[in-house]
Amino acid sequence: MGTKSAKIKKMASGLEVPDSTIPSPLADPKVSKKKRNSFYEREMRRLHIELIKLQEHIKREGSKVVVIFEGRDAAGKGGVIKRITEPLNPRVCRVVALGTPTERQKTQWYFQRYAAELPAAGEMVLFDRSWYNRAGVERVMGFCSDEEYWEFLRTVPEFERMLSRSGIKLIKYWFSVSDDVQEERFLGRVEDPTKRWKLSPMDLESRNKWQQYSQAKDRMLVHTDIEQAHWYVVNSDVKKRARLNCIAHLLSVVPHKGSASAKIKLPKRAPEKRGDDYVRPPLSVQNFVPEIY
Amino acid sequence: MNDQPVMFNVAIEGLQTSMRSIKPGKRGYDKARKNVIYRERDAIALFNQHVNEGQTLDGVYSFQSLDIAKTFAFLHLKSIEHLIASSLDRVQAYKG
Repeated sequence: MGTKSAKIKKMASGLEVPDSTIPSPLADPKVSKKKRNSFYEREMRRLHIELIKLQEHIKREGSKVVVIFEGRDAAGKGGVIKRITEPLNPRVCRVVALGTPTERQKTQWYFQRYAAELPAAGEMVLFDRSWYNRAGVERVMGFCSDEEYWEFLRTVPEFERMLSRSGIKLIKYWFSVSDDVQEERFLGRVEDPTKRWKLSPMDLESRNKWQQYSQAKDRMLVHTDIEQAHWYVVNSDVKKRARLNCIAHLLSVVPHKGSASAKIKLPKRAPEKRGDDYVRPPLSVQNFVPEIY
Repeated sequence: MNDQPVMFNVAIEGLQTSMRSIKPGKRGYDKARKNVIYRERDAIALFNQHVNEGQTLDGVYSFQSLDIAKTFAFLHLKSIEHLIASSLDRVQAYKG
């Protein structure tokens, strides 16, 4: 695979990343699936350790981080979010995936329900879809008026500049998936009962509006890419590559230093005085989960 | 029956930007039709080209649809707004 000999460069965060001029084993069809998987697992483990360093940094410095994940259905946003949150403390890193607004929320300032989810010091919030719904699905499916849409495009940069000035680091990812790959993933969802829930009637309807979505996406990116919060596009046709690339990028744009928690030596337990004041109740009084496995 | 499409003009002069629709047969329609920008990506490319070359956008631009015209006008006005916002940031952060 040649990964050991692959050139390595250091990003500003201290994260070591393979030289992008050398083809990744994940992109090399000559590399066996087993080797590709083992490379992926190893890299993911390495990135997870870096994510923990980032978490410690966020806690220590009281940083506020918001990461937005946008993209078409089945683009792989959820998979990346899952891999980011996996090793992290949910008290530091949480996911926000808001559903359709209630009747009351519909009468509020558009950003209000999102603003309520923004991080406090020492927190990182991952938005699985975000306020950008208005520029995508709402626009294409006709769920907002022309006035609301243009007002949104006007307001977003102001809103995000305010977030930035309040000390929030905002990173925005667009997951780019091709037409064919999306179709393949939809078929996978249809066939897999554990994934079927991911397919909503809206997803199916939006399949017919590929071009309109593309136009809406292009316009959204051009209107809302600002110095304080750039858009980064993740090529997500190959899920595993997209996950590694996105996490490595995230680690490179959120400055963090230090190490994951120092090694802990588990001290010997102090001998406890055995009194007669505690007697374990009989097992029959507790409801145990049946051990069927 | 005239089935020629309405055109949308964006006029830029310094900090002033205005929009106007031109119906077929009205004054300026032929000129607008001749120079019309049909696709949004071309409007964006035109804007970027001017910015990259450091040229002023002063002039009149014609577009096939209102959305494309608005995008072009927005990009121009947003770039001015961005300059102001950056200056405000610097002034606000200045400690003497």
